Formats: sequence, structure tokens, C-alpha cells
Amino acid sequence: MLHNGTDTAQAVKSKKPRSRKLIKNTFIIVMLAYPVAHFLLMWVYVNIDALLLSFQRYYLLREVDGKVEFVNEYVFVGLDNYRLLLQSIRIQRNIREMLFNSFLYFPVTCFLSIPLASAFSYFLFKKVPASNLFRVLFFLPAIMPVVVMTMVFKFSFNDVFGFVNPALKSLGISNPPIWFGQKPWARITVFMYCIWAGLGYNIVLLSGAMGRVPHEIIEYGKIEGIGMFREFRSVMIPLIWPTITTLFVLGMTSVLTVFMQPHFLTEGGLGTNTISLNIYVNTLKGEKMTDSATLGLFATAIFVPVILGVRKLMSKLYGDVDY
Amino acid sequence: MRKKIIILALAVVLAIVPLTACTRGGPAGGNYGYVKDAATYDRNNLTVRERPTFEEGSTLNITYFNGGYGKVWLEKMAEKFMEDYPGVTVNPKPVADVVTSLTSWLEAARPDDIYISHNITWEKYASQGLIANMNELYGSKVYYDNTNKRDVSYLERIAPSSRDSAKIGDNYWKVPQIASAGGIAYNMTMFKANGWSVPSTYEELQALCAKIQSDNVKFGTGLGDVVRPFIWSGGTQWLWDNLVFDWWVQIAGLDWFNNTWKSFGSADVFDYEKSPALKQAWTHWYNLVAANPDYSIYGSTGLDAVSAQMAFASGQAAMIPASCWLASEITEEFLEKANIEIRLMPSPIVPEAKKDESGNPYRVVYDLAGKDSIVVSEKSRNKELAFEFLRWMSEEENARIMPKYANGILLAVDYDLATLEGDNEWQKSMFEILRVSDRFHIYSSNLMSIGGYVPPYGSVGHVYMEAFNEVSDGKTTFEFSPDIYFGSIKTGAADSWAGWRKSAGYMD
Repeated sequence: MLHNGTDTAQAVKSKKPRSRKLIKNTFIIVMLAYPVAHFLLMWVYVNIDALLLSFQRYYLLREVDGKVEFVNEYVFVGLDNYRLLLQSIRIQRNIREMLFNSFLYFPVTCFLSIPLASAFSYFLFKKVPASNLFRVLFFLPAIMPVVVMTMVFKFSFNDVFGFVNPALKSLGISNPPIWFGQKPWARITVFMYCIWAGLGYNIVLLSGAMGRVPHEIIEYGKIEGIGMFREFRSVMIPLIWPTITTLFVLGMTSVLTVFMQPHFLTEGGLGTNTISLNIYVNTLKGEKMTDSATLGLFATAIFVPVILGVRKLMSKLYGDVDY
Repeated sequence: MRKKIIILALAVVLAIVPLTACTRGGPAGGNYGYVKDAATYDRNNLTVRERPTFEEGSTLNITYFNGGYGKVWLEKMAEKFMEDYPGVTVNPKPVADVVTSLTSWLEAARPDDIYISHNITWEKYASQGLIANMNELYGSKVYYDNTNKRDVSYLERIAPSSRDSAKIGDNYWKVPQIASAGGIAYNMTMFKANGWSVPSTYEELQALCAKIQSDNVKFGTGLGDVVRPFIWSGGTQWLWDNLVFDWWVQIAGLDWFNNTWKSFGSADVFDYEKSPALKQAWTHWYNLVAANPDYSIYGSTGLDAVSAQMAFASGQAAMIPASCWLASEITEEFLEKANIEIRLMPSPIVPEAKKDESGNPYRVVYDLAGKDSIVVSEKSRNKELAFEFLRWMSEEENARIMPKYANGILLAVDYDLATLEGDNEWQKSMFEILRVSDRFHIYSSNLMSIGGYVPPYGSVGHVYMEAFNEVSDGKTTFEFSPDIYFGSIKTGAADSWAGWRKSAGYMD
């Protein structure tokens, strides 16, 4: 059917907004597709798969009628993996040691690293001499690759070629610790590394928070004649509390996430193994994937409520800060 | 609002579509034919098979672990292969780590053709259909034996002691890369200078250590430090396996090791009363090394492998537990500059060792590198070329490129050991040991072994370091003393055996 010119112009006019809408919607869909895919793949799929894996056992091979065959199958075993995990915790010293060592990252991060970072940040905030140099020195470990940092750190403590032990020997300590080859020094030295390398990141965040504290409040404190310690404890800490809470909660998650530092420094030996290092090594070997999923979920189920509880408790401690 | 929901739903659908392609791998490999066993052949009267030709411009990509063996050996092989097969390009790609990324490489649309590394979980890749079945390669001809008028197969060109480490059931999935030796390396120059003899028995080794201690030899720095019998690295403390496993098999015998230990028939293999050899071997090590912390350089347990090797090469200790790659890692240049020669000593014979039919001590040598693998990707577009490269590598002349350029390290090829001479003392010592010893490795295709449930020392890692430390730290309780430690291994295995079998895939 033929249209006259006016009809065609009207049809084009009426179609234009529709096609624009289509283009707009397509654009939105395409733009949304990537983050949604990422979320589905990296969060939903991974977590659901891990949950399902913990109720399954993987069989690469099976012996059927005396003959070994590839089966490459997952079989539902109910709660058997959890039963075996609890049995391992009871029987195997190295599993208990791994859980204990992982847990120690909580006090080390939250009660050593964060207070230290807060103190250093405060000194930087107060512009102590050479504070800019210190700022760089503190932050440098945070921007260097972990592999390089751990190598440098480990080499420094090497008894034959390092500089720490010869220095201690020159001070009269004839048998200094074998830092990475002796209990409990291996664990202590890994913690020392974590504190040293983690300081920069915490200091940047805390310095930023301190920088935002209104000058008037600091000035008022000065007029009232409070000293540095009182200013730090009674003014600064409450005002940067939300940042401290965030760092504290992030620090607590290190119980479940630290693996690179012990991996590169001690390969998890001498009591330095962690939950995530155990999972990483087993996954890398392609062995016991279902056991790793079970361990991960078991640890998460225990620790996540603790983290959430602590977060709630901490946010109640000083309440919201608004300035 | 409804439109927003529709848009979000469409976005979810669009996002899910590519995800549906993610699966856990393909079906198990098919049923392939039986590969015949090895037979003897006259290695002095062989003719190389007629070599196939390949399309001009064919490229063979090989990704390999650039570690202790170095990269020159493969580069030299690639050069020679390209000369022998005009028009073909071989592209060796050294990488610092194969294991971490191998799954994604093999799953890629166009993986490289060959992958070479330690710790390749080839059983998993075979089951997922990611690596090529090699039955055709193993059954194919490498030489023609003019004396016996028959073909010599690729299987026959593989070192006999490695053949069982490459297959599941009747199917071959990998090529064992290395068949070499390990044990205790010693500083030959230092031994000569101080009049120390290479020990041939355990008692002589004990006496040697005591003598090195009492001789109080100073080393170069002038700081008053003295040479100790051993240096070793806590990071690679498992290198002691080279010595202890030799003793284990000296005592237990290779038949027991291959047929009883590796078959894991019952928890009795972990019962030190019924299978005492490993405990006896451990006891010897414990009494020599752990019970005498002064025999090791102070701080050994805190060293990484490179530091320990450098300290050894610079003359701080007389001996170091070592595998075949030691000299290659220290490098010939360093040894030349330090003006020392090193050798591998045959593991001293322990008193309980079995004797052969002639009453001579039973010589074995453990090969830590015996699990290293060469695999061909299933999706390789040059599978035939990859197989041809492996066939070519197994020829005597070509296989000798490896020891020449990797300082004595041998491929898992049935070399004519009698004619291997070696360019330096290290290489000579390695070949001498292999000529007079039964080589063994620890790989077993038993399901519990593949699943990682039955390592010899149970689930505790770093056992040598833990044992050494508990003595050197002056502890009063000794978890790793032979009776206590092997008692715990026995109990742990007995308690867990049924669970291990079930978890590993046995249907009983």
C-alpha cells in the first residue's frame, strides 16, 4: 500500500522516539551485562559452587572390577566432608596448628598493626621532622610486589648472607634466632613482615581521616591545654573511629585471607600455615578440592558471624561521627 | 518499574549465556589398545626410522619450566630439530611457573603443543580430556634393530625405571622427563685438600662427619668460621629424601618398594613393626643429622635453596643433600670462579642393607626429578609434529644434548650409560652412580597415591626441619624421634585407612 508524503513523515516522526528508546534500552542492557556477569560468575557461581562442592566428593579415578578407570565425577556425600574435617582437626596436629595460626592474624592485625599505624599516622599528622620522608618509607612496602618484598625481607634475615644476624652477632648475641627456620621465630617473623608491609596502607587511610578532622576542634583542644597523648586518645581516636572500625573489620578478615606472605616466606612450614594457604596449595595441586571448599566454608561459617558482631559492637562504641 | 525489571532480566540472560559454557571438563578418555612391554635390542646396530616430513611453516610451541635444568638444553634441541626437519620452526617458551596456569592454557582454544614441568597433575588433565593419549607414540618406531630384525619402539627408548610413571591402566598420557640421580653432593676439592675420603658405608659417613668437625678447617672469609659437614636449606629440606629414601630401599629392597609399598595394599606399609625399613632409614638420618646439630651450618633451616647452594659452593660446608640439578643451578661459571669441583657420592651403605646375589651391597638411587612430565595438549594442532619431536628426542644422539647442556641431567631415555663420559667431575659422578645403581622414583598410579593420601611421612610437612629443630632447640619432648614419630604414622594410617581408600575411589 502506498502512502502519501504527509503520512510517511508522520510515520517517521512516530517511529523516531521508539527506536531511540530501543537504542537506549539496548545500551543499558549491554552496559549492565558486564557487571551482572561479573557478579554472577565471581560471586554467585563461585560461592554456590563452593557450597555444593562441600557436600560432594570428587573422583578422578575409580577401581571397578579391579581395573582403574577415569570417572572424573562428583558424588553427593552429604555432610561426610564436614565429618572428615572435624576428624582431621582432632587427629592432625598440623591442621590444628593451621587454624590456630590463622586465628592469630586477628590480634596481630587488629591489636598491633592498627594501633601502630594510628600512632604513626598521628605523628605524621603532627608533622614531625622528616614526616614526608617517613610517609614515603611507610608506604613503599605497600606498593612493591609481594614477591619482591618477601625476597628482600627474607634475604635480610638469612643467617649466612643477610645483615640482621651479623649485626646481632656484633652486638654480642652469639646465637641469634634462625628467623625463618625455627619455631616460634618463623611465625613471629612472618607476623613482623605482615605488620611492616601492611603499615603503609593503614597509614594512608588513617592519615586521610585525620586530615579531615576540623582544625577548630584541634585548636580548641590546644586552648584547653591538652597534651599530644590526650589529643590523640580523646579527640583524634573518636573522630576517626569509623575509619578505625573499617580497618578493624578488614583486619579481622585477614584470618580467612592471608596466604601470600607465609607462602613466599616459609611455604607454610614451622607453624605458619593458614586456612587460605592450605586452600590455595590444595587447589593448585588439583587435589582435594572438595576438602578445600569444606574447610573454607567451615571457617567462614564460624568467623563471619564473629566479624559482623564485632563490627556492630564497634560502631556502637563511639556512634556516628559527623563534621 | 516494569521496564527496569525487564531490562535487568535481559541483562541477566545476556550475562548467563556465556556462563553456560563453563563446565568441569570433558568425559574420561576412551579405551585404547594395549601397549607392549619393553624388550631388549642391540643398541650398537640400530638404524633411525625414516623421518616424516611436515608442511613448510609448521611451528611447534613448547612451554617449559625454566628452573634448575636451565633453558640452553631445549634451545639446543630446538636448533638441531630444525636442522633435521627443514621448514619446521620450534619455539621453546621458558616460563617461571607452568603449574599455576596450565589448566587455563590447556583449556584455551589454541594451547601450545607441548608442556614440560614438574608437578603436572597429568592424571587430572587426562581424565578431563585436556592432554593427548600417547599410546600411539609409545607403540611407534624409533629405530630399526638390524641384529634382531625388528623395530625398536618409543616405549623401549624410555628409561625402564620410568615407564611405570607414565600410565594409568594400559594408557600412556605423559612422557617422563628426567631419569637422573640424587644423594649427597660433596666438595671434591675440599675433600682432596684435607685428605677426607668419600664414605662407602654409614659408619664411614659418621666417622667422616666427626673428622670434619675435629679438623676445624677455616674457610675463606677469615672470620673464624669453620667448615661443617653439611649445609642444607630449610626451604628445600625435602632434598634429604635423596639420602633417606636410598637407605629405605637399600633396606627394604626394590621389589618390596615397587610391589608392596607402591600398591598400598593395607595400612601395614605404614606399620613400622611390619615394614621397618623407612623407620630404620629415618633413624640413621636422625642419629647423624638431627642428633648432631653442630654438623650443619648454623642457620641452615632458615636458608632458601639458593643461599644454601652458594654457601656450599663457597666452601662453608663439605656436603649438601642434592638432586641432579644442583650443579646446573650453582652454574659452571660460579664453580670455575670458586675453583672447586663437586661430585655426587653414592649413598653410603647402611648396615641393614640387602646384598645382591654376589654378596655385594645393594646399590639404589632415588630420583626426586622422576615425577617431572612432558605432556601434549589434546587441542594441539600439531600433535603429529609434537609426537615426532618427542620421538626425535629419544634418539641417543639427540638425548645427549640434555646432559651436555644441563650439566649431567639425563632425560628419561634408555641411554647407553656405558658410553656416557661426562665433561666434568659432577657429570662423571652422576653417570657412574646410574651405571651401578637401580634407579627408583616414588610415583605410583595407586589411587590413594594419586589422591595424595599416602606420602611416606604422613600428613606432617617439613619433617626433617621439625626433627632437626626439636633437638637443636633443646626441647625435652621429641615428637620426631623414630619411635614416637613412626608410632604416630602407624596409628594415623590405621585410623584413616578405610576413609582414604573410600575417598581415593576404591569401591570396597
